[in-house]
Amino acid sequence: MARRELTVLAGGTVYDPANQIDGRVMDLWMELGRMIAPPSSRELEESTVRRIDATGYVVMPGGVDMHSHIAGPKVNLARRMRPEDKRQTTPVERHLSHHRATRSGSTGSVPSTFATGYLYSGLGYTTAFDAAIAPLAARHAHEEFRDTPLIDKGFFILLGNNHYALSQIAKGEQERLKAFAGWILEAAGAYAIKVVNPGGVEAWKSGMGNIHSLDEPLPHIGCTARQVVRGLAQAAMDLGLPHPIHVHCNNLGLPGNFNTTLATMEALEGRKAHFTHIQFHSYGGKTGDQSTFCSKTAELAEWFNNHPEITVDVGQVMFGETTSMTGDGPLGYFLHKVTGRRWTSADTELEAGCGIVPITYREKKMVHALQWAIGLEWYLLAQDPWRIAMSTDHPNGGSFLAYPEIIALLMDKGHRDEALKRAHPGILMRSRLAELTREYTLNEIAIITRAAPARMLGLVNKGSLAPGADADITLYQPDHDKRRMFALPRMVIKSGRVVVDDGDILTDEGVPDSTRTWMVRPGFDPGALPDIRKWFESHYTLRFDNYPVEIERLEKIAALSPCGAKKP
Amino acid sequence: MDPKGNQSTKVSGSGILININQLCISAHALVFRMPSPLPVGFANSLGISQPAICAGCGCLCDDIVLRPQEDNLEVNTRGCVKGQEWFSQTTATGPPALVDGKQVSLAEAIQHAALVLCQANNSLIFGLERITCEAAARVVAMADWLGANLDTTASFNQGPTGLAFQGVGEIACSLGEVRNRADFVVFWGADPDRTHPRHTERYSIHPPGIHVPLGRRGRFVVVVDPEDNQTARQADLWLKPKPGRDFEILWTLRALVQGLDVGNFDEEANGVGIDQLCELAAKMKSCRFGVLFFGQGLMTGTGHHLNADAAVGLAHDINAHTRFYARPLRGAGNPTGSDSVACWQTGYPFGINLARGFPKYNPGEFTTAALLERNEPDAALLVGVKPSDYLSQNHLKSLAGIPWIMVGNVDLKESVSAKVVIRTAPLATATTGTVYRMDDISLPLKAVISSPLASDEEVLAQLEFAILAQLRAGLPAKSGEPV
Ligand code: SF4
Ligand SMILES: [Zn+2]
Repeated sequence: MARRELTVLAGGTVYDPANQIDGRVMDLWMELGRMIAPPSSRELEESTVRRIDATGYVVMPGGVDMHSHIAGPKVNLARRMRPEDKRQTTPVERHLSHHRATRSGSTGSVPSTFATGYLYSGLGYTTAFDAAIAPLAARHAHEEFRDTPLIDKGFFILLGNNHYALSQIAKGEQERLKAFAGWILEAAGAYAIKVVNPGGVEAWKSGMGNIHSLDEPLPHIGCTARQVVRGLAQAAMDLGLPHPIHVHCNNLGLPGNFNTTLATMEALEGRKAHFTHIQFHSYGGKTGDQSTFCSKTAELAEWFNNHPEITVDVGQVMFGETTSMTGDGPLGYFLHKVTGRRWTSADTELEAGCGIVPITYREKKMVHALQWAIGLEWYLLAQDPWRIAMSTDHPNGGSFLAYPEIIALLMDKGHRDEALKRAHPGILMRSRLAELTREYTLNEIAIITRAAPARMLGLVNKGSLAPGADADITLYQPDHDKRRMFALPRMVIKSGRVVVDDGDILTDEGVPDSTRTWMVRPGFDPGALPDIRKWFESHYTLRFDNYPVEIERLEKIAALSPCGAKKP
Repeated sequence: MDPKGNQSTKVSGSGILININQLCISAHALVFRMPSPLPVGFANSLGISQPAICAGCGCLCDDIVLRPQEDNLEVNTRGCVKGQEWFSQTTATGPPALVDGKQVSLAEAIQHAALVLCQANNSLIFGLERITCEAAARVVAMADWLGANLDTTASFNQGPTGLAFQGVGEIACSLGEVRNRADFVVFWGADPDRTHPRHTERYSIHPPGIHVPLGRRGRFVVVVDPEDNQTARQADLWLKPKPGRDFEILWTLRALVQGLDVGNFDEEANGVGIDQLCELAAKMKSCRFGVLFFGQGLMTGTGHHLNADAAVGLAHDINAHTRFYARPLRGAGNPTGSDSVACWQTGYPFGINLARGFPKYNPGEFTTAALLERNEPDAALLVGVKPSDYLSQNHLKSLAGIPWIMVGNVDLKESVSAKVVIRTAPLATATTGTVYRMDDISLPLKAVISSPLASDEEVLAQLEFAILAQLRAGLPAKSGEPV
């Protein structure tokens, strides 16, 4: 009988909050890419054991980024629009030797695909989700995922401005909406439902401006943002999706938008939902009057703290040069007008919009400093770390490469005070950041960067080191300087294989990658198909049969990982 | 846009017949050594209609029907002659692989090609026009391993547009947005009836859409072109400026849209009246959804990227009043897909140099024409492109002076000076993979017949593998490097 091949990560200080392990020195065992229980002495006799000494290192599950923009036409348009952004940053160099072959890439705020995989991995992240793919762009997104190594991936599809969804909502056809959602998730090979500025993008594309309140009906379709959010939230629950609807509210970035955010949360009436880049939706003040701009984090956080059905990620703004990219078409135009910088826009028939604008966040600029402060307030005012995930809405608020700096700001009040001193003083009056003394523990950091996002996504095998979980593990060298500690993991293990050792990426792009693309197969009522087909054939410019991604081809580039969705 | 400006006209009637011997080298195939015994004949049963995608131009019509018959392939391109040409383009008879003009096995040719490229210090990889995205991904990979210059055909006919996008951004929409919403359509330096024969039928002028239920009658159509223009026959307005005045006129329109004083507009030099432009500007601002398609006519002559800049800038300006888009018309094959692949893998769509171990971008320095004009490359790989479509006599002469490799479904006449020739299955009928429409919408191409020739994707994957192996063999002996 062939001997089993086991790996033991020995003697590390383990932070595995999903299993209530908070800094315990212990051994972790893995086999065939999964965590296993410690073997018995008999099992050991039949096995070859590879030992990795983790003594003195902090050990956590691999990081999970639940909201990022890393693939698809929007991201690629941004790469094409910004060659100058890449010239100011260090590129990723090609490496070719007998054991390793890694590809080169460009970086900047929107790195190329191989670079994205290496940079995430080098940061100790092993999973990342793209948050905004139009279903019609799904095939493109999957293609980019094929070229994004070392991390597991998945994406959410935009349905909050989809014509078919909107018209079913307007007609009150909830069952048909559910069937449509199930069908289109499968057709796109997607993981969850995303709603961006419900109704607002369609209004903008139709030359009717935007949608600014929950009960304003879309003139030509008749439904309201309230109905869209509610209907899709219900559909996601009825389909048994592992992740509830992922909501980007109306009025992103506008003063006074916290009212809309609160109203959207209330509109769900207890249904589960994830509110993304909540920082961009927590503003007080009056439109057009910057002097009134202020933080409303406290008000929203209070509501959030009392509503366990709601989860959030932050969308932290970090100072520096980045690229704003959004499925919120009218927002892109708004930013173009505000910044006076280049603007790319791309609309997809019957489904979605998109806006891309370069942006520089400056600490001396009041609005930007306040956005930064509001993000930090969210981390510090959210009482339950299991319901808040770290994000910069990469690259919107900043690159994911800023996560170590955010960790340092959260773990060290002194570091935060230093940063506050450099920022525009106006924020002291307009936010409560200065008075918040909370400091995150390592355990809490492990929650908001891996355990919580994995749980919010319903990824039972991620963000955990329990037997059966994926052997995705990061080792950090304990360091007083938390930024340094989290920026340069000592080692990263992906599916049981060491992929980063002291900053070196250990992989061979000459052989197929073993990372996976996560997608759901929730099933749908086939009785709804003829109507969907009829609609499709009268309005799209391609054949119905050419719309779904080819699952057989995807299997070649990524193993499908159906989630625990219930059959309807 | 067809770089040769091939003429084609619409004809009625369904299908034409193409002799099957053009599509398969049936009898000859037996005498060649094939890498693996590929079946000769049809992938699917005879007499059954197969849906297909035409890549005869950037429209990528996916409502084509092919019906394999005993000894021919029935093609119904719904009246598009250019589409029929696309499906008949195929290799003339001949061997699958040649080195120095002599027939060899595919494996030998691949080893030779890898050797040529690995020995070069400054190789050029060009083309990627008529290959799938999957094949393009392999080409970009080998450019990276080799540290080569990588350039697509965009540097010849879309380069200006690419530069414009970096200057001002782009305002894009899928063609379905045009069909469903556009009530105002401009073709500038473009003649789709000639270059994209079904564009107006499927997307831009005729089809009824959600917000344009009347189809043609619900749209105002403008053609701006000094040349003879077939599309202009269907237009509501045809402006015929003097050649080379596009820049001037676009900027005047920008000023008019913004309500600025245009000063003294030289009507005679420009060939259009200021009143006409005022009316046009007013129409642009008052439409509900406008789109400007620009073609090759706007992108030739000196400073042409400034023209594309101005067209996109005009669309930007009009967005202060209404929704307005500006899009280039793109040509046959999969140029949009290849640019996309190059861009996601390197960050740049064309004009890339990887010699320093990472991607550098500089159109005019690392683009094919510039490199060949300076006789810089010491080896070249042309893939999925007909050299004479893009390269001048001088370029071809420069190419003939270095060892170069041709991979693709091309006529052997195009590659007489090549050191290695590897001929691949036709994209039109015998290839499976992903291709992109000119509006960035991806479509799944499926092989309808099998070819005795290997696909681009297979050949290029093997070539990448051989290159990696040869490069590694040239490295110092294995040391105690960590695994
Ligand atoms: S319009 Fe273009 S894609 Fe469509 S059938 Fe004609 S040549 Fe082919
Ligand atoms: Zn986002």
